[in-house]
Amino acid sequence: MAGGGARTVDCAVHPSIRQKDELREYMQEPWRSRPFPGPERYFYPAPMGEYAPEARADGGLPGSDPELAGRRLFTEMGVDCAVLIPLTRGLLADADLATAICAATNDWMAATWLGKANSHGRFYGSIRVNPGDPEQARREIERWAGHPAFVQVAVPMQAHRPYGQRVYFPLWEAAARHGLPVAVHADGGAGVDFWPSAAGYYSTFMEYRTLYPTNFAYHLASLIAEGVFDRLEELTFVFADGAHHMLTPLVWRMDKDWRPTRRETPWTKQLPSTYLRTHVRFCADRFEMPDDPKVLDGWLEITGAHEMLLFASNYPYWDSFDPREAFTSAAPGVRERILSENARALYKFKPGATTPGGQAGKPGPS
Amino acid sequence: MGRYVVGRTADLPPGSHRVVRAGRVGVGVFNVNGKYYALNNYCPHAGGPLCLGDVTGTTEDAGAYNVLWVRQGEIVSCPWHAWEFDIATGRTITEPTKAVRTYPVWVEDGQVILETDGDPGSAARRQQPGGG
Amino acid sequence: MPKNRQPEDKTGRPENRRGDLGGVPMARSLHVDRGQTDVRVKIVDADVHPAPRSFAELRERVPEPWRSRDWPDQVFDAVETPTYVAPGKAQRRDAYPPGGGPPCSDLAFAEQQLFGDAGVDYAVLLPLTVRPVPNPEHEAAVCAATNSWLAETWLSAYNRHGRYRGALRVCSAQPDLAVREIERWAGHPHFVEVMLVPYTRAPFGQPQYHPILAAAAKHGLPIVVHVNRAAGMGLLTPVGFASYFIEHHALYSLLYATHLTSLIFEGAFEKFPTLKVVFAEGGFSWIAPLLWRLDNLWAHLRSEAPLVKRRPSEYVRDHVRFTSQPIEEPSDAGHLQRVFEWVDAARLLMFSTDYPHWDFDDPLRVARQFPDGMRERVLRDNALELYGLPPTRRADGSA
Repeated sequence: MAGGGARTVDCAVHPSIRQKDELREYMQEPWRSRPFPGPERYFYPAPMGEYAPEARADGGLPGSDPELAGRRLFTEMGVDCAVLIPLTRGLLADADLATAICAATNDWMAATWLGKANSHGRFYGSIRVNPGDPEQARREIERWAGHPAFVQVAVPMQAHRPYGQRVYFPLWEAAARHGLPVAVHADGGAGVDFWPSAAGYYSTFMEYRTLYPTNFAYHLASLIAEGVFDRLEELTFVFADGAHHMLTPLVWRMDKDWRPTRRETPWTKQLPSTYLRTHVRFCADRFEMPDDPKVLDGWLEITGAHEMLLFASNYPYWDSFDPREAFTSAAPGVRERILSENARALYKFKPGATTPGGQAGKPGPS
Repeated sequence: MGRYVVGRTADLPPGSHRVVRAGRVGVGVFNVNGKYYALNNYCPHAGGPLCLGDVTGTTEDAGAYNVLWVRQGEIVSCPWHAWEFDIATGRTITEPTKAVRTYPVWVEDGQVILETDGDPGSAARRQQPGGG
Repeated sequence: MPKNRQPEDKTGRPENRRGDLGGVPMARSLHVDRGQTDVRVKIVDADVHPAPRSFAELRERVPEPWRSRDWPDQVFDAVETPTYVAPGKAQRRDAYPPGGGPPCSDLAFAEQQLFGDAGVDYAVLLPLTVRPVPNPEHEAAVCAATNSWLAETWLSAYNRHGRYRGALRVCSAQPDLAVREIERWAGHPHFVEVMLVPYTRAPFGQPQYHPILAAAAKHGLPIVVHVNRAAGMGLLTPVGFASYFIEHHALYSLLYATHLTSLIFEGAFEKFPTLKVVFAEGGFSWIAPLLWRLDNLWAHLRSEAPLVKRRPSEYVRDHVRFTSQPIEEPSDAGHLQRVFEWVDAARLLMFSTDYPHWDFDDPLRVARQFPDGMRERVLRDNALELYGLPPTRRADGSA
């Protein structure tokens, strides 16, 4: 089948700085000269290499060349526009350093991928913020909320408290007020993370790749149980690492417990699964599909996933999803929803929404 | 048609309830703030003995993590899965609403009279297994 | 005008609120066999939780020095002070015996509710009397006491009808102690599995647990993974501590998925070809999407785990089972039936009630959810096969 169609939206592309210290050009002291982890994930290296071969840029880190990315995404794969989610550096112990890295990442994006490299206007971005300092994160949202190319906020999956807990509320309130979805994605770097599972450390990359994305479930359960969606009607979370199929049965378990435990969480006014359609979206994971297309169709139908899934290539990683091969045997109309319509209903895409004059945005926090 | 004398009003003061062995599974008769109500002792969720549950109030969201304790004495929770029912209407306080069968009950000459229209057990069998 | 009738009851008094009805007769039994020598088994309950009548009953079996040291009354304390509060303090409110004691501590009352009202034929007993504690020798001592208590009561003195089987409690944090306990009881006619609590610092596929897996497999005892009330770091998730029970309860499933994935990718089922593993009380609908992930990723990444020779879903088919409670309740019951097909419930699922807990699943109601052909496999056959139980039993006067 021809590439996605002219309207395919790629909801997760992960651009990189060209070389490790490029980010420092967008930072001020004392952060500019402070050592901090590189962008690679610290644990569980992918045995065949982290990146797809075609993403390796000459003289730069994989995924660091916007022109190469554009050729791959727009020309070869037929994608219409892409939402960029740059990774930051993990759950750093120093909250101010983490905040500074986020701000620098946003400045770099505005100057490059959303600026001088965006004359085609097909790249959109995510405002990286550090939930470890919710007040600074809120300010960073306010700083960028007016920029037409930033279409969402992005936070790491790594956290020390599940995202429904009340300490984070000002951050989600700001995102919702500005009509910005919040994307959650596993971060790079090396941080002071808890164990990657509730039973400790995995041994292998296979376990990590199978299970780590399912950790969204802890955040999702928290957001529902703390009534965040009840309090913020406009808020949408995007789980950019996928795992929709694993999470739905867990929300069914919450459904069964909702009436019995309502007294403990009276602010959760609806059956938990109803919040999925209204408040949650998932990037599709290439590896979560059953072999049998009839089973997939059935699963999409009973979970309502055709409304919730967003196509994402996950470029430049080894497990990139090619839209030309995505959902090719889905029921009529479903493919179009997942590859295009759900994203266009979610994000406020303004064609040609480049940083004015290709300039960087306002200076970051000192 | 079955009429039952549940007891004297003095035996069923406000805040009390008892299960009458009427029909196949019993009928719970409750006194809530001086008024009597009767509920089938069969929870529409999974068939638990609803009227053996605790009668209490419940919580209500008052915004921004504030919680009120409300409706003291008006709520019965099923002893199996703790679904909360408004005694006066027999309906869940959550939606989609599920309802337990209710029966007429009134006071006559100082006695509490319950009326069931045949076998409440058959009404229970007609109820769908719960869900949602 | 019809004569006013008094409510019918033996004592002539109107019924009181709790206990007088002693378990409302619901006409539950799926079979009524009277006057036959042998009864065909219809329902095996793979997850029941008996309790000692008092903590003293357990404590007198705890070896020294642990018996003499102070620690909270585990039986009642565990019920009363969990970190996450289940409704009804986790118990069915009508399961408290009229004569006192915790739910499922009074044999006659429990059998009235379980065998009589619910129609269960065999019950597999998993005592939750061992709270995970930091000192493995302490935990192992309480495990040993629990096993002695269960063996002397529910598996012998209470078991003339032969309808009870039990799970051995062992402490996984120090595998040599666990192996010792398994060896102590191996060959006992009524212990049918070894229980591991999943709140660990490493998933069960990792090499430090292999002596436990080996001992269990050697003696033909499945491992059953079942949560037991924990506090502290055992409750830590990858993103911190949950606030509410509804979060914590839903996410048992991910904990189980972690252990299962580890067992598969560490090659435990290749290394121990007779090993069987049961995941209890964690639901099962998530198995279908997990297997899609496992199979797909294994196909791409199998070089990382050369021990793993077959597709993960094949290992699950041959080595892993799941108990049914708490069965999901989607608003469209037809959805559940499709999920049963996708998870191969006819092979993988074993019915359970979780008696006497609050989210008890009633067999009559659960049976209705399964189509013909699948129903008997779930309610009975999968458990008969896994535990080697006879398909008939003596009629014994209880239901």
